[in-house]
Amino acid sequence: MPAEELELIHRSLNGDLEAWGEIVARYKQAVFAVTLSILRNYADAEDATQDAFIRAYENLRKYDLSRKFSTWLFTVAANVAKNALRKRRREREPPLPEPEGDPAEEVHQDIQLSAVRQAVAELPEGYRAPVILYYWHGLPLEEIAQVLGLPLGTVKTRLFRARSMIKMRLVEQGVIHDAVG
Amino acid sequence: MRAFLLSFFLLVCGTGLVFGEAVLPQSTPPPRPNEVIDFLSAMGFSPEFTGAVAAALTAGFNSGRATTTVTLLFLQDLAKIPREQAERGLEIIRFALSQGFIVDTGFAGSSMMNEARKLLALGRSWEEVERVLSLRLGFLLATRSVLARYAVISLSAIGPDVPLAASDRLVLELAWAVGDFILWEGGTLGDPRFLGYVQGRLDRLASVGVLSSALTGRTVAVLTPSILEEIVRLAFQPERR
Amino acid sequence: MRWDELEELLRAAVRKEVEEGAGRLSGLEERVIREILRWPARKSWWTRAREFFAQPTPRWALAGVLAALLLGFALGRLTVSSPIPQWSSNLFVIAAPGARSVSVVGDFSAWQPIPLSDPDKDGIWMASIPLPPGRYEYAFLVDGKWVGQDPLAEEYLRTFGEYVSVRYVGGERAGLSS
Repeated sequence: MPAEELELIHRSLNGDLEAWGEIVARYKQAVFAVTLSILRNYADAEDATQDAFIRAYENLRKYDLSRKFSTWLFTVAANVAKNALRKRRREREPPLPEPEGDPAEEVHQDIQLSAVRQAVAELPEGYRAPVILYYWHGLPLEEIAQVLGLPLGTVKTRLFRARSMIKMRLVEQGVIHDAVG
Repeated sequence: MRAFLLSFFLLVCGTGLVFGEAVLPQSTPPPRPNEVIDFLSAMGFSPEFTGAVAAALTAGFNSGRATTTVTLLFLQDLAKIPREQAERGLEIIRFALSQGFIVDTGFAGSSMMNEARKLLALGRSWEEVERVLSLRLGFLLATRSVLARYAVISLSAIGPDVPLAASDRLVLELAWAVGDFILWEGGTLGDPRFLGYVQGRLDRLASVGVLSSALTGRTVAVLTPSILEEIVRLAFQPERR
Repeated sequence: MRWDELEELLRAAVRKEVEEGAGRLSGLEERVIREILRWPARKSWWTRAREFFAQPTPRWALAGVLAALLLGFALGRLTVSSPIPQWSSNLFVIAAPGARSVSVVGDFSAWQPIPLSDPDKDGIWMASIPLPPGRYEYAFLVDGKWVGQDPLAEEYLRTFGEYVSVRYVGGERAGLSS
């Protein structure tokens, strides 16, 4: 862990909220990506991100300094998001997210990119999170397993299946034509 | 104190179990969806996993992609194996449902759950069952992709709750025929029997009314050995470069 | 498209998805700090749960007993017999002289055994099973032994080296119907 980050954590442990604010600033987008991957909805992901930082601060004393801080923080965020998902499931089912943006502009954007985004959005629950942790955060599989509380084999299977599905969706839509060779 | 409470809990559970069994008539109507979900909930999976599977199954029951009777039997099979293994098996079903595939045709043939039960009846291990289910999922995904690419079927929304269309059964039966040929008939790519085998299966299914004649006719006319090979390659090698 | 190109697209797609929503995070630092300051002594769920259960309430004990009974009852209902869909009857017949028990398993029963009978003890065992039109895989079990090749089947399929019979019901070439 970088010394500067360690210092921020020590200061936070001593009640220095400004230091914690610095941690929030550094990790907010990464934590947002974790919660978004599970909740699939910007508004819910934003709430969960805020909640995750509050929970992490409250539980900072339980953080083992020998472990990687980001992994611990992402684990907290994933748990907060999973709880929010459970709560939301009791209340309502969320619509699948539609990629935001100006449709007119979309026409000029890379069609392949839009198709991939749509395919990622259509991944079933539990499959987006490994994809985002792998492709956005660049986490190794072992860490993804730790963050999501899943066995390593499950993470591998889900990533493999998610990639297969995305590729096949692109074949279906004619975005790629060389599925065979 | 804890041990006493635990023993008491088990005793009460056991009492319920005995009465539950005793009142069961031997010939019953299909279980209600909530009975299946209750059984699932008692299997000890995590709340997230249970919730996700319950949602997929409920949608599947409503849309006709799964039946309560075969699903309950399948869950009972899973209840007999280690939980982690059971979760992997059930995850394949959930994934297939989430992609809008039929996973159980009730008592009428080709389906993942029926296949699993057949293999168990044959005395095969769960490792083998899981492997076959995984391959079947690959065939389903590949078949739908290739059929859509050749405009035999059109795809808009996919999911367990999307109303069933004739093309859903076509995808299932074609995927099954291709899978049967490769997995069980010892067929290989380039096998001259491949096209005839698959076309024959589809025609026969149309003749007994399982498949729509019009859709089958269109499909049979479009199919070529290379399309079938494309399905197989895609099913086995989705990450091929 | 090569697979590594797809990998790159995936990375870009995921990046775009996150970045489009990240505008919402502006000022999050202040909001987090404000929330932390607002509830300096928030109790954890564990503390709250312990406090809750520390209060003895007989109703909770009763609810626990009822829940356990219901759980046991649900587990007790594991054995669900398979209702055969009502349709045209199909005869399943096998010659098995001297057999003690014969049954048929197949798609139509989700591979649960349906017993065959030999009331006149001539070694011909049979059962008439009503089935809707469709393609059915099946096999006989003679004293527990798998017999996969029914002479009356339309085709056979080999699964892990074992035969299963296939019968189509309905249409012009249907198997034996009664």
